[in-house]
Amino acid sequence: MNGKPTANAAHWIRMHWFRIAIAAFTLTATLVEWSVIPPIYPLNFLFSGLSVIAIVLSPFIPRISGWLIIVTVVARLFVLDLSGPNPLWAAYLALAIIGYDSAIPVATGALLTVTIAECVPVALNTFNALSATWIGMVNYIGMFTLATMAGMSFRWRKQRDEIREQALVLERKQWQLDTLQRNTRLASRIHDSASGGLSYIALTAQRQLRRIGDDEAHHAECQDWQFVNDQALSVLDEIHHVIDLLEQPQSPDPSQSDDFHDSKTQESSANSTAQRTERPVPEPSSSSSAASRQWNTLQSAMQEATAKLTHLGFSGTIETRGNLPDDCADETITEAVNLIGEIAANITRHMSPDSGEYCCVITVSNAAIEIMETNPIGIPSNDAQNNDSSSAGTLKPHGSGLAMHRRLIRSLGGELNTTAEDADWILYARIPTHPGSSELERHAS
Amino acid sequence: MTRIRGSNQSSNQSYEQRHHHGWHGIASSFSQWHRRNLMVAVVLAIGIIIAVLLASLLPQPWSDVATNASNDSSRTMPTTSEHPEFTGPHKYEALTAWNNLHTELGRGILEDGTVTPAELAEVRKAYNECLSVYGLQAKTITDDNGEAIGESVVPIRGSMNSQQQSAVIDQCRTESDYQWLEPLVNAHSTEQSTKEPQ
Repeated sequence: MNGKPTANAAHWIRMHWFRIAIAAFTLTATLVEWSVIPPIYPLNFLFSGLSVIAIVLSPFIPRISGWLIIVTVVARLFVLDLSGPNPLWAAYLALAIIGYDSAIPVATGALLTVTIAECVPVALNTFNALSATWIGMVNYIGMFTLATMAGMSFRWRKQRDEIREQALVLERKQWQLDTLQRNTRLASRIHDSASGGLSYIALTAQRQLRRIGDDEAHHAECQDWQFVNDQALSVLDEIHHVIDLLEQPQSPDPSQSDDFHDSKTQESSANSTAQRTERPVPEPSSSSSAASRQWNTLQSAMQEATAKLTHLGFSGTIETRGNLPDDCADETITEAVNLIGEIAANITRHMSPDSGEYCCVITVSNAAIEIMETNPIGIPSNDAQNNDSSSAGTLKPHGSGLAMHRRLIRSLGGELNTTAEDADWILYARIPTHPGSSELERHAS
Repeated sequence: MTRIRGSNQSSNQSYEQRHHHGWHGIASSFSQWHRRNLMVAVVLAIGIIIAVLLASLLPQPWSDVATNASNDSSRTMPTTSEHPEFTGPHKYEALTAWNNLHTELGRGILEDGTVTPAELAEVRKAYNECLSVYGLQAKTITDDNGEAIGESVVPIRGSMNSQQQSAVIDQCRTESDYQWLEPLVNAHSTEQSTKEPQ
């Protein structure tokens, strides 16, 4: 039970050892003087006592104690009694504490209060003045200023250390984010190119195996296709393993991963904003040529996907609606093309050719490219299942492809949703054509 | 702070935001401090003011020493015909001292006609208290063997000039009865001091 409070107290003492040390020094000096020359007047006794209490409390409530000490120091000037402990010890402590804990104007106010108050007896020429002459007062004013500046300099040093530490943390986070983002892009790229291609190879091999059957005459051919299928599947497994490795966040602290996603999104959008602002405004002729190039890229991706799916025996349509705006961002087109590839690869994995037709509609508008895809969730036919179970293995979905695309699209300011309703798989994606501007709009809203 | 920006422009922005938040933080923490500790501060202030008022009603010993020194006035205890019967070789000094005493303490000490060193220490303490109000302290001067050969008064604090200091010292000696009782303890001791009272 006592362990925790004791540990807390020890921690507190470690954190505040310097405050405790200077308060202890001041308290010792004050109490020694008190024992040698005790205060004579009751008022002086009261103010000296308050001052001692404030010194004791100074590590706990520094600002209140500091001002209480200043009040007692000023009040003792108006009690014509020089007995009791020297109030200057406490005054130096109070000025240093206020210099450390308060803002510069407040600390300057405290310094001026003590200085002006100590000047009053000199001006009135009473015997309790610190110095009989104004020249002598300069020494004391210098000491008060030094005490305040000492507190302030410790405060500035602490602030500098904190800023340095923050900058280091920020730099490290930035580096980790950069690495993570690069890895995500690498993983996505590998997934889209190699994984999709290998899936097609494996599926083609499996289809060929089914077509040939367990015929003795075609045993050698069958073995070849089996080899192709096995190789494709094992390489696919390897690639998925590599993607998993790339996808792992490198942060040693797992609790930061959420932070990472948030800041990553913001950061990448900020990056794209910066890129957009830095990019010169394209000229109309070049922009229209760029648009047609982008349109061609999109169309060729669609054709490629359709061709692959048709080759593997899947039937369905992929169509576009609307026209591409002139100033569509390249990264939007890249992402759309990659997503179409991923959708086609997913159809081959999750749908069987005889369970129905897939349908993909790509709607292009000025604001965004929207991709809507549906296909029946197919259970592979018995024949295929038998074949697969007899063969080395089936095509296992990796499951991270869409998740990676979702992250990328989200970083562009868009969205990717998938649902399965009534045995139909529905995918909806919206990729803004101007990732930077949509981000700004979202901020503004 | 997970807001991380890529470009210089945006890091400036975030710095400004932090700065902005800093000011907000000061304002909100001040209002929080205000609400939480205002009552405590007010109670404390009222308590101190009451204590100051009460303490200022209490007597302030030795407060008129400086004025008395300046106008050379010194109020002795009322002299009556009743006084102890002093005997011995120093009975006249004792009688003079009795008539010049200022405090009940001094009369209590001299009532038996003798002043012991312990009794003189009490008077000396009162003398030092009187001096300490004016930032002075009486210091015994000792020789190499550690025996007292006299005393001097040293300034500890304050800005009195030497003239004011000697006036206050004289007045404190008189008003604390140290001036009249110190020669008597020397007279009673076997070792006669040749030192004249200051």
